[in-house]
Amino acid sequence: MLDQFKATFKEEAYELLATLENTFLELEGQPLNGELVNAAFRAIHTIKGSAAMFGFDSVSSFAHEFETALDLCRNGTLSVSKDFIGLALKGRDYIKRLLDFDEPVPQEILLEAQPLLERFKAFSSKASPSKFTATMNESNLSRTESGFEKHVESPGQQERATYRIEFRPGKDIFKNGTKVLNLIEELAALGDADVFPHTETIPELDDLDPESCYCWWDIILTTESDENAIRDVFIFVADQSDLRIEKVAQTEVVATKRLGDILVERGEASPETIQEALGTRKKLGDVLVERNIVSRQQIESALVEQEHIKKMQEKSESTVGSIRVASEKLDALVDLVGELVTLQARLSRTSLDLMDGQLSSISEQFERLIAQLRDNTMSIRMLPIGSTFNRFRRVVRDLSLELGKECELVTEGADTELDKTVIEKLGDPLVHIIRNSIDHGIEAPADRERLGKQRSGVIKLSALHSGAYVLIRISDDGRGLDYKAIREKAVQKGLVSSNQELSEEETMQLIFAPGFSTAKVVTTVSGRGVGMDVVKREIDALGGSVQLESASGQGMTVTLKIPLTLAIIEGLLVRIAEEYYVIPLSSVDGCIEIRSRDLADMGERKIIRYRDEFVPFIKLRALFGSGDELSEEPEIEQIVIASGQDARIGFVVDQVIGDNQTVIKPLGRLYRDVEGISGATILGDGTVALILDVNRLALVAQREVAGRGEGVA
Amino acid sequence: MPDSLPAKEISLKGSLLVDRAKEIKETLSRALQESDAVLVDLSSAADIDLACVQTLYAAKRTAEKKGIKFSFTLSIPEHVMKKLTKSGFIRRALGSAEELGSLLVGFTGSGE
Repeated sequence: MLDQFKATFKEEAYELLATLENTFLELEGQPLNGELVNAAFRAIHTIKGSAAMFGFDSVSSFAHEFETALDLCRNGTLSVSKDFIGLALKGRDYIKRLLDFDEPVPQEILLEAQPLLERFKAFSSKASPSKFTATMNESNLSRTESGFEKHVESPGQQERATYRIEFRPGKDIFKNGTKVLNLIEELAALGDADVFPHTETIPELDDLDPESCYCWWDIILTTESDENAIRDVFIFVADQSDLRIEKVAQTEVVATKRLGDILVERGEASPETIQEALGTRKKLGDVLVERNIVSRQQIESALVEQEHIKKMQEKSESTVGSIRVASEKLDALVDLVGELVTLQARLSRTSLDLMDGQLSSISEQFERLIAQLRDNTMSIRMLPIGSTFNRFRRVVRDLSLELGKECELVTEGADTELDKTVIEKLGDPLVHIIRNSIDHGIEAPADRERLGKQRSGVIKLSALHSGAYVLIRISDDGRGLDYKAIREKAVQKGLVSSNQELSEEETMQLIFAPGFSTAKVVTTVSGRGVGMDVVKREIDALGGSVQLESASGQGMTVTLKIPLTLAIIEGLLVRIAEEYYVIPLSSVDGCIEIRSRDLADMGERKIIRYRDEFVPFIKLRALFGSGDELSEEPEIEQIVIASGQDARIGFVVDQVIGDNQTVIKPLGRLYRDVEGISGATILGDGTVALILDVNRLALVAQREVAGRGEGVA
Repeated sequence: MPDSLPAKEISLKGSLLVDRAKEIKETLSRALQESDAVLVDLSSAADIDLACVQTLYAAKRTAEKKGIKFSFTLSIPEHVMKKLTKSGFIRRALGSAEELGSLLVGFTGSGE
């Protein structure tokens, strides 16, 4: 029983430590931010208390000094300096280390505490009461009977309020170049907004002055920002437009508003009129419009407000209702769903064979439900990539210090979701790429200044969904790829001969050659597995791809394209001789039929025409050596056209069977390195079908065609 | 009833911003005089601003008054959709066979 509590304590402590790291990093940039100091103090205080309760004495006693120092920061007697943050981060790391060991902690580890404790004590004793205090926002102060009282809010629990905003741009607002739609967008970006444009004053075309503004807006905005921030959006047009801002609700959660109430609050109808209208049997909105009390647009706008409030309610309810689930339980669930998918395929096939109407109908319903279950389960495994991104703040900071550079990490798309296994596997490749950027890409601060750039380099991490993939980009504003250095290194390593001409593109690709790395010293931060070839291999293993773009003097961007999920994909089932193969549907462009005569006419060149391109093809029968040569060539050949990372390829198969829900089973260790196969699946009738690795095969085919000296047109 | 006039497709390409609003007004005005049905093709539009959105609304008002059909082709560029969505002119994504006009707030049966 106690073990279970201990495990929970550890989990929660690790989480607190992860957030704490971020808090310290942010505090470094905002040393006067009282809220951040408070958050840090509370985190250490909590860890100290819980640790004591569950017998993690070493953690608890270390945290004590830590807490003392943070307390002094809290009341303003110790200022938050860069040195202090450095120590705080080390302290945090140490606590994490202690947690990694179970009590009793080995003596050597305990001794590591000494130097840190001494430094904490040194800081604490230096502290002196000073006039300096962390600044407090005015909005943190509120009036009470006895004067002002300070509200301390922890970051992340900022109170949200809902405002009703009426924005009426002046007629001539376009004349000074104002982009009204952009203003609305800017306003909406402050939080959750519902926007209603009033278009009723737009006249007929003949009467329209195209350069005058006729529209106005009702906007309901739920935001952490205050009224001033809202006014700020319109600051440049304030004197040419009317802006009315009204706070509709102080907190996030608000009782649902009735239409009538909203109209009364807006001053568009009187309470008596509403009462009377409600007395009729008809819908309130209809009655009011019929009687010309309000316009149809005013009703619509009020309904938008009502909907907004409802949405915000639902949102606040859902953030409260989340639970912790052990990873293993989730994995077990996904496995079971996988089995169900396979079983359902069998049911489907059996019902087809039996040709029983009733069974077919049930089987179809079953199929639909399984699809939903599958999608649901897959989405549970999805986590926002933000947590991984945050991990890199520390990496960037430490590396910058170590390499004498100044760098800032900017992230975008932190709430883009990815399957959790994919996220786990991305960690190392991303660290490596970032390390490269800081090491080779970003110039030293003095050099940057000389070049007219900002002293501090920017590394941008972004993630976004694109079809069945997620695109993760790492870009820096450094010097870009040094083609000369790369080429020299490649010559040195014997990868290319010294007199070989290489295009920029080809030079870029050299980076992926095994053992390439231009790092002369293995730096301490990432340690093992140096080289972009390792990154490429790891991304390939995920079914993804890596691309580079570089602009000399301006910087470089690495784009990782990763499939959203590893476990279950849509596949196209094909037959070759007696064997079945699956081609990931996301890579399939189309299927064509071509007369074998025409195919043979291509002669030695194994290419066919598809749309406007020439595409190389592979006869899978020949490649996999399946079955004997057919006694007679079929008249029509089936070709599946698929897209690999950089190239298209045609697969000549015996038969295209159709769509297949493919539960991916990994290949055993013996088969893992077989080129061209990325996994296997079990079909409805129990046979095993291999999943083709389209990327790999496309490259093979391209190589063959190139090797014959025949260029592809 | 006069002989029915042929349908006219107007393709608005590039940046549809206030500096071209007058030109667009004239184009639409002509089209409304010359035919019974006007189809606006925005598939090559790169950007749109309030001035041009208003012009389209105004054209629709005139069309309704005259009993002329006024609608959009199905392909609307993502950037334009985004602009219209963020400023509240459309409240949800366009379905696969849905026409933009049916989604624009206050577009049909409008004007008071």
